[in-house]
Amino acid sequence: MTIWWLIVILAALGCFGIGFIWLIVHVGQGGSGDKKSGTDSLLEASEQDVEHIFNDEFREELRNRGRLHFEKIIGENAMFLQQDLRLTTSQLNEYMKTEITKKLTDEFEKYEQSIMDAKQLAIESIQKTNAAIDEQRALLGQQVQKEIVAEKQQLVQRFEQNMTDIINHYVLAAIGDQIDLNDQLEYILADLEANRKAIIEDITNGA
Amino acid sequence: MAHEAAGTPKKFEGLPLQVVGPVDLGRLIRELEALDNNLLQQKLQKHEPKLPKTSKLMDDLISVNRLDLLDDAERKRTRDFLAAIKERAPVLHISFSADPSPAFVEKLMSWLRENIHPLVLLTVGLQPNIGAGCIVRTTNKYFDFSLGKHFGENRELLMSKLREVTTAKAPAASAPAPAAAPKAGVPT
Repeated sequence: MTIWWLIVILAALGCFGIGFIWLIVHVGQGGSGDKKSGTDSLLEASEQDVEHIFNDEFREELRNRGRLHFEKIIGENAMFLQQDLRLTTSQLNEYMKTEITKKLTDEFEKYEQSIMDAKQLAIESIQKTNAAIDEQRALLGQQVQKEIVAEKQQLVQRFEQNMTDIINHYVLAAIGDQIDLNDQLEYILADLEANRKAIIEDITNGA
Repeated sequence: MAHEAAGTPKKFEGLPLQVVGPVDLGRLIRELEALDNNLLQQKLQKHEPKLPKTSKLMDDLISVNRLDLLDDAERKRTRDFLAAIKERAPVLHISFSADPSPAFVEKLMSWLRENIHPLVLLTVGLQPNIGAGCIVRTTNKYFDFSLGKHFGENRELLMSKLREVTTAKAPAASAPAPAAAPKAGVPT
C-alpha cells in the first residue's frame, strides 16, 4: 500500500515537473519572438494592475494602517521616553539633591568658618580696644588728677597771693562804714612819725 | 608903714592851719589882689582907707602874722610871701578812704607843720579802696599806710594762722564720724 502511494506521488511530481518545464520553454519562445511588444504590454498591464490594486480605498486603508502603526510606535516610544524621562528626572533629582547638599554643606562650613574667623577677629579687636580704653582711661585719670592738683595748687597760690586784697575787701565790705577817719588819726600820725625822716629828706632834697 | 620906716621888714610867722594847700594859697592871693583894688579905689575916691570884710582864711593869716593890710608895702610883701610859698613850699599829697573833716585836716596840718616843715602844703585825695589808713605821696616817694598794705606786710602771719586752722581742721574732717550720741533716757 505504501509503495503504491509513493509511486502515485512520484508520478504526480513528475507530471508537475514536465508541465513546469513546458511552461518555461513556451514562455521563453514567446519572448524572444516579440520581445519588445511583450515588455510594453507587461508594463501597461502592471500599471493597470497597480492602478487596479492600489486604488483610493486601498490607499486609505494603508494610510490608516500606517497611521495606526505609527501611532502605536509613537505611543510605545513615548511610553519608553516617559519612563526614561522619569528615571532620568529621578536620577537628576537625586544627583542635584546630592550635589546641592554637598555644595551647601561646603558653603555653610566655609560660612561658619568665616563667621568664626570674623568673630575671633572682632573679639581680638574688642579686647585690644578695651585694653586701649583702659590704658587711655588710666592716663586720662592720671592727667586729670594731675591737672586737678595743679589747679588746686594754683587756686591756693592765687588765694595766698591775693589774700591781702581778699581780706581788705572783706573788711571794707564788713565794717567799712564803721571806720571813722578821726579814729585813724592816731595811727596815721604814728605812721607818718615812723617815716618822718624819709619824708623830710625827700622834701629837702627833692626837686 | 612903721616897719618900712624902721627899715626892718616884718618876718612872717607862718601859715595858719586852715591854709592847707595851694588852692587856699591861690584863694588868698586873689583876695589880696581884690583887697588892693578895693583900697586903691578908696584912695582914689579920697575916702578914709578902710579894710573891707575879709574871709576867714585871710583873718587867720592876719592874726597869725599880725599883719596890717592897710599898708601897701605889707600887702605887697604878703602877696609875694604867699606867691613864694605857693611856688616853693613842699607839697604833700595824702589820700584817704573818705573825705576828711576840717578838724581832722587841721590836726594833721598841725602835726605836719611841726614835724615835717613849717610851710608844708597838703593836697587831699580820695581813694575809697584803701579802706583805712592813708597813702602819702611826696615829690619823689610814695608811702602806703593803708590797711591793705598792713595786711600785706603781715601776710605771712596771716598765712601761718590760716594754715594752723586748716591743718587743725583737716584731721578732724578726715577722722570717722563719731557714733551717734545715745538718746536721752535710753540706758546704755
